[in-house]
Amino acid sequence: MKHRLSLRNRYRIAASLLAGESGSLLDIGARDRRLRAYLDPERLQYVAADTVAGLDHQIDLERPLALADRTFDHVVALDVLEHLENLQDGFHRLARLARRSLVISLPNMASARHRLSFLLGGRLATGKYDLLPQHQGDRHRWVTTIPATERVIEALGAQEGFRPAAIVDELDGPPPLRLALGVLRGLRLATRAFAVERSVHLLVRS
Amino acid sequence: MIESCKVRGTKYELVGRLLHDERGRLLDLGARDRRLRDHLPGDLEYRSVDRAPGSDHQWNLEAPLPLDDQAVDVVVALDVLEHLERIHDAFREMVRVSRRRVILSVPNDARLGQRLRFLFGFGFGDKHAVVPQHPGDRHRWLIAPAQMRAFLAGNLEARAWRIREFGLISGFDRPQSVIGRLPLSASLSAATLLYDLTRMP
Repeated sequence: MKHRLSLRNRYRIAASLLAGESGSLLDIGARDRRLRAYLDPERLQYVAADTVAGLDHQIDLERPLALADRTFDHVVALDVLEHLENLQDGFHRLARLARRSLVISLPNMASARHRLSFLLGGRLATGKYDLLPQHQGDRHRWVTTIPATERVIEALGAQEGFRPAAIVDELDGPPPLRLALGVLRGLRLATRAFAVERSVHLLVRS
Repeated sequence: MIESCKVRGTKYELVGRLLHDERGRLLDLGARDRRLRDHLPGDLEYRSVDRAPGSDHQWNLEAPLPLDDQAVDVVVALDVLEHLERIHDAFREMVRVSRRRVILSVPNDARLGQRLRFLFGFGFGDKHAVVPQHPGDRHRWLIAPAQMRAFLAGNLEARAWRIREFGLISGFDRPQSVIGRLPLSASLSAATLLYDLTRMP
């Protein structure tokens, strides 16, 4: 599988992977429906889902879903799976909802920013792994790193009849850092795991 | 204020020393092969708890303990809390059922050796790995000393408990053995953090 580098954010990357596609699209973990702004409404019928009420569907991937298999043409889950205790079952549940394709993104916690933060402070560059005096409820429950995440998504996808069609890597950090890491990566002076903030995977039904 | 010091040896040996003068009932949570029992004074009545068969009690530590308040004298939980999603509830349960002492240990994920491993792309090891099959038992939290101290302070009644921290510098591997000998703080050099909590009269 060839990886493509991108300076764009995960929403734009997901939309570009689905450019030219049509049908219904379920955005799991949709929050403020930000993805919708990047999609072509003439081609894709956007449906939003999250664990909280107020969107089109209330879905908790930790539990069996009430929706029938293959309800949507496309299912998108951007930075969702790492929040689940049972990431593997969560993947199977969302994959079964998709008739044609899946777009999954996972953060890469081994990127340059996180390594530097952990070296200097013993803490990743995000509060999502912190042990706080009170349980924070929503948090990252897995330390997702490239290339382990790629192997896991491929293996889980294969179990559900999907094959990887594309992987787009979003570069890490604010724009100047992204540019620098892009150059380093282009010159093969940095590994993917070092340079990339997250990978966006497109899987299609075999 | 938490007292802190560095020590050598295993966690079992240290617990044995700390409990040398204790008497009464001791509950060993996550006891596994009951190895701790070999290091305890004979005056302590030992009871083991684990998920697997073979222990005195098969209890799920993600749920409330089926014991009254202060039902035992000492609760020990060595390298257990980091396995639990409901780490806060589990800790409060340990405190609730103990009359005098709670001794617990956690891995120091922010030790220098781990920081260097992570810097060079070696991750956090198998216990944090993302794999295609859910492993069941795994480490669910990254434990850093400063956060662990805040966690303890935030979940104990103020001035009701004395907290002592021990940084166990003995290593799991050769780099840790070297780092353990360096003149660094316990937060950086300890592979394991052990906390001895004593209920104040």
